[in-house]
Amino acid sequence: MNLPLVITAVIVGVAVIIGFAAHGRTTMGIEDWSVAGRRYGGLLLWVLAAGEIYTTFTYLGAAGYAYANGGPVFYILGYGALAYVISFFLLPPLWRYAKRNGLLTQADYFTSRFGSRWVGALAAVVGVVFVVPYGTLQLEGLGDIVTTVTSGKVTSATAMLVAFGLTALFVFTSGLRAAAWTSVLKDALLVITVLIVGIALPLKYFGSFSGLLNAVNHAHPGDLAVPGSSPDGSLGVGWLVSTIALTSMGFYMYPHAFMATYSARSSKAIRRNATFLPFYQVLLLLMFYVGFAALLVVPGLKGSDTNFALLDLVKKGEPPAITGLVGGAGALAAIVPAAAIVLAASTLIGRNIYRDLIRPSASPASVLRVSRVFVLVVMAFSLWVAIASPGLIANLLLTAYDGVTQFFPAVVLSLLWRRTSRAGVVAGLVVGVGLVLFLVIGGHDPLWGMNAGFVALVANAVVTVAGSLLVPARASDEVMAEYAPAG
Amino acid sequence: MITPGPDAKAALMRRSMIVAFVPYVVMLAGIPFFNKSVNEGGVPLLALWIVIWVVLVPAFLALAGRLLPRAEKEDRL
Repeated sequence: MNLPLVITAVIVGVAVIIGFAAHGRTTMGIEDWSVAGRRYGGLLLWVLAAGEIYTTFTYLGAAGYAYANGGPVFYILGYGALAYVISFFLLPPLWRYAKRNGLLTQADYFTSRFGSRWVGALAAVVGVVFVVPYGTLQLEGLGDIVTTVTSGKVTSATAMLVAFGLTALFVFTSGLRAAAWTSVLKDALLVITVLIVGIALPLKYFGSFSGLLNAVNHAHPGDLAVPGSSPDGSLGVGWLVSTIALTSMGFYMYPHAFMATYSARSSKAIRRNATFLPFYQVLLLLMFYVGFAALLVVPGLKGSDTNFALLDLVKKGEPPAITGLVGGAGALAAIVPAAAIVLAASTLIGRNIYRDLIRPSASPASVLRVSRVFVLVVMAFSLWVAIASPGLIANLLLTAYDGVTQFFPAVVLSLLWRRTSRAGVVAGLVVGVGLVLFLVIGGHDPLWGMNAGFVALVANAVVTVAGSLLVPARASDEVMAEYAPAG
Repeated sequence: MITPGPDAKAALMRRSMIVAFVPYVVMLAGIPFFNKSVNEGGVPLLALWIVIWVVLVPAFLALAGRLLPRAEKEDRL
């Protein structure tokens, strides 16, 4: 019997049951389905808000990034806490506005704030284009995890089909509640496994954390700082600072993270979360140690194989039961964000593309039906891409974080500055997204020693301001400038 | 009771933001000075600098929360 496989399968099975059970006994309207009726405080809001911290990308990726690059990985440690500083001021007025106006998606904010369904549809398209590859990445991560912990007995395609077929069905049924409740299990398992693996493995091989770090510094001088072992030393101080700044601004700009905010019961609950979530971030340090330990214990991984640094080391140094636990935790780290992402993408399509552009008279029930169908469509599309041509999304993926961050100037300026206009926002978004695609796909990242997405963000902000000055907001646009002085 | 006018509210808001953004600015501004590949008691120096400010964020946000104008603390829809 393959113990790791059994444990991983049981964990995924429990999560699927939780996902379906999250529906409860009520009949769901679209507000229940997409933002859980705006009732979350405490635990569920916490795990939803923390959803971004522990995905497969951070869980396996953090160890892999430390393995591949050394010190540049420390950006992952810093940006979350700084994102909460921003969210402390940014999210409460957004939440109030969303509640007042019945918003369900990120693009709804653009439609409502700038009085144009076309602006909303543009935001929906940009959101879907960048968030779907991020979902596909989670799928591929799950496939890799299951194949590795079962030593190839379950193929990656089988694992993806089973896990994400079920995920699509529970999102179809329970909506955001499924993502929230499965998050509880996911976060509990991740914290436990990070503590077990992150402490046990470095101690087992090096005696102490200091022993590990000294060994790394000896074998790879400079690896505990930037630029570490990044290619050509390209990830230096300027890159680190601009990347932390960029990612802290982009954190809540992912359509699913933005939307999860609407599920809060009150803005007080949002602020309380922002205040305490930074503590949650510190654990990531342990994942870097696992990556560093793997660098010395299982050397020679190259390219995307560095993502296996954690799993390879766990298989080598831990009993099979722990390997199964890590496999299950890793699988949930893929399933939960994928659920939230698919939900956000399908609601954007249902509301901001189908209803706003194609059938303005559609009833909420019909928008819910269409959104649900798109849960299945988006998941099927992601599965097809992940299985048939995993290389296809590589480029879009590189740009995902840089891309969604381009929403930031529009969102912040519309809160701070009354004159922020539709023309300015559209021009800024087009310039920002265009620059991201051009710079990142064209291989100009980093640019001038800084994260290319950051350069695009600055250009975007300048264009948004200039455009708003040249083509002023009309009276109908001026519905909100929460923090702007009166006048 | 005197309700503060919009300008007083904006001033309070500004003060709260300044407090909250102290760790944001200091963490990033300090990075160039702590970028040495050394082990500082089991934590890389650069990571230690970042972690210190990560765990100070809650303290600054708690203080910023106390400084918020009253209307901002409650949800007036």
